[in-house]
Amino acid sequence: MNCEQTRRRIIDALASGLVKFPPELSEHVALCSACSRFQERQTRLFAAIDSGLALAINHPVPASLLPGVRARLDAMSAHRSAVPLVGRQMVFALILVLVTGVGMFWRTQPQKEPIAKVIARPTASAIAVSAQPVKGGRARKKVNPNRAPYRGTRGQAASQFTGPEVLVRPEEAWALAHLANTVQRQPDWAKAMLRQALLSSTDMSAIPAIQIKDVMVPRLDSEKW
Amino acid sequence: MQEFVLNPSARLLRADPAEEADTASAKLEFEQHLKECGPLAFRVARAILRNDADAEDVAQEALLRAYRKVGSLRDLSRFRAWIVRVAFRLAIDGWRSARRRERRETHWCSPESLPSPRNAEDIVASHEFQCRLERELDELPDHSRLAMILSAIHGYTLEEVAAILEIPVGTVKSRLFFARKRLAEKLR
Repeated sequence: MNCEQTRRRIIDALASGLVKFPPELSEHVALCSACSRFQERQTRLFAAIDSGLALAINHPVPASLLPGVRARLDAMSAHRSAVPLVGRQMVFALILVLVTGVGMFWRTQPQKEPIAKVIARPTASAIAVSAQPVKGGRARKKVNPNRAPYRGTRGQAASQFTGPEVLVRPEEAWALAHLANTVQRQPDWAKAMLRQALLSSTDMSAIPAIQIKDVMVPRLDSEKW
Repeated sequence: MQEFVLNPSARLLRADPAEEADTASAKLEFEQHLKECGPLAFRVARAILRNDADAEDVAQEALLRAYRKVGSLRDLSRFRAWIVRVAFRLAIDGWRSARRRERRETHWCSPESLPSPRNAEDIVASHEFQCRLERELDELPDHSRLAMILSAIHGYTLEEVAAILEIPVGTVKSRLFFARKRLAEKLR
């Protein structure tokens, strides 16, 4: 065994915590002064590591550690028991009853009447107008007269209503219905609005005719009406 | 020593006798575990964090978590293993975040810029050696580091360390061998 091997084995023996070296190692160390010095240095180094670790790790435990844990446990337990079990069950039952009650009330509420008699739905006549042949062309769409008219979400209310209908786009229905209701409730407002319209000097002939696809819409002042 | 009582008036009034007895025995059991595992958790955390206040916080947090699991950790060895792992994990997390913060704030005086030591003999008993030892301990892999820390705690044999880590004794020995050899190489 040469010195290099001996030194490697010394380190391994010290790192593994051996108290007594193997005989061949001890023999070489006894004969070689350099290896003997190396062994002493390494022994001191490992002893220093051990004592340093013990010093770093076996630090005195602070006296406040366990009382602190107990205090935090007490606080946690007190917080948990602030709402007792029976109380928690009652709160849960109360919330359940409230939710059920609100749900039932919502279901039993009668459907609100439409605030206006304005129904936004295409009718058969409207479809027929748009499907008329123009300038000898063929009809673009055949209208089935037996087909049931389209009903929207308020179809039931629309079918019960027997008065005149105004065709508007769905997004304008509410506003127009609101205007109609307001005018019906306030006749003075209607008169004022009509007067204002009559007084205005808008020349209707200045407005060009509207061309919707292939359907000619005549002017308001023309005789085709 | 302060008695361990968890809000008796509020709980005893509504608990039935069997549940009350069960709770009392669980508390007693936890109190016994607490006396032994509290210092252990603190030392593990202190070995990582090197700060008493932070280590105390970590140990308390680990013990509180352990209290919630005391029902499933009745066996002391399992309880001890569990709490060591939790304390180690919490401490490692805290240490890593602190190290990142420290590096960000004081990178100019990092350990790499310190002068290299003269030799082992000159610094063996010095404070510098202790600092270097702790720094090199931090650089060990987690499993070797935990084995090193537990084996350095007074009163724990290799068998107990193996039981805590839930690994064979031979594995503990090999981890210690690797860790000590590496520390010696770095500190030589």
